[in-house]
Amino acid sequence: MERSKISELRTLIGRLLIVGVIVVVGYILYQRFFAEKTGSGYAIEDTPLHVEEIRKIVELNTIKFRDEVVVDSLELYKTTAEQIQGNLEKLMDPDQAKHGISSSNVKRRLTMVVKGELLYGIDLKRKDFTVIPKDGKLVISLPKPELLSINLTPRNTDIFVENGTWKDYERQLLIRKARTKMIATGEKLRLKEKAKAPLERLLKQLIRSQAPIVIEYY
Amino acid sequence: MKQTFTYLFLALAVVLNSCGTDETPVSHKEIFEIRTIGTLSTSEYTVGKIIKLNDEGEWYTWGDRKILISCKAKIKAGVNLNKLKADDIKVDGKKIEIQLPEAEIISFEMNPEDIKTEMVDVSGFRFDFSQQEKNKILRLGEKSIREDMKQLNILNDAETNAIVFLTDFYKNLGFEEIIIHGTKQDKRTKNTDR
Repeated sequence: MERSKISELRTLIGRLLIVGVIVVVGYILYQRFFAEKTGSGYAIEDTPLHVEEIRKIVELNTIKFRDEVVVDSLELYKTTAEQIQGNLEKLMDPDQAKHGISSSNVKRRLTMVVKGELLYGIDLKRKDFTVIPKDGKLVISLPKPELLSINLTPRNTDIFVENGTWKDYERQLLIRKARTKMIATGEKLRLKEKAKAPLERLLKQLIRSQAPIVIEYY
Repeated sequence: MKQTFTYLFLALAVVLNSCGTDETPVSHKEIFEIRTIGTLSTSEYTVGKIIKLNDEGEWYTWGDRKILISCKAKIKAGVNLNKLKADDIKVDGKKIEIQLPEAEIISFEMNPEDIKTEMVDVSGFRFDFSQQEKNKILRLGEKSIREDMKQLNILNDAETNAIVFLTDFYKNLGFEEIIIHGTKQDKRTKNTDR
């Protein structure tokens, strides 16, 4: 009687241990393969900031253009055999396992959402401007407006899909593509031309002259 | 025997599922906003930083990962001339007096070409850094640069340069006495979030 009770207790402890091991292994596997890695746990070391260059500039910005573009790079498996092998390989990699399970024909895909800010205006450091009183008027000669800054930062860059292994230069290539698209949109919207009206308004506000102001671009 | 069946089932599931296709094209819809501004950028700083990360991982991971990324940021600062109110410019004959708005950060750029992974060290059962992870690390680097920027003299430089430019500008217009007041340092915004 006593012996059977001890035996039952042993079995119970043994089963509880097995359940415990299953739970722990399950948790580890979930964390490794499926849990969302937010990266919020990362902490970078405090390193000094080096000032490499200080430049005096004179840029009058009159148009701010905010754009958001989606850039994508996609590679497909060429044969079914390659697709099966590729998806099995993805299953072995915790970061890629979720793409392997779906077993699609996508070999690699990198999709990014890039937000950028483009500033248009005139550069008065590189090109000079002149103010000449002529026939009772103030004639201001200015350089033509141009694209002065393109602000892209990691904070405004989102990697939406990363399927497969990608190199740094490939990510950079996509960012460059996004940048080119933004510049093209700016051109299409004729923002250099549109920068003229606020520029003229701003100069008139600054000059405060009784004489009429004539603005010429060279 | 049971194990063999499990593996076979898994392989079969992958094979059958592999017949699927996923070529959903990405929508290239443009979302944009155009605003008229009036900012005068007068100072540009190029700064560099080494982003160091030692990822020891969770308790259940064996091994660690280290990464060193070097990056550069180009920061432009200046004054927002649109903030000039009517009574900020006082003209009295050949004399002009201006109260300049406070200097601020006009633009912040981290060119992807100036971002380089210098070293990656992965040990144990850890996997290499994905691009998504690298982007998250870069965001932390950007945040750190923005924090460190507060120690730089960029806003003072921007204000000084703006005063020099506006003095020349009004001299060109024929003014003889030009007085430009800057913003006291303690009244300046500490916001570097541009």
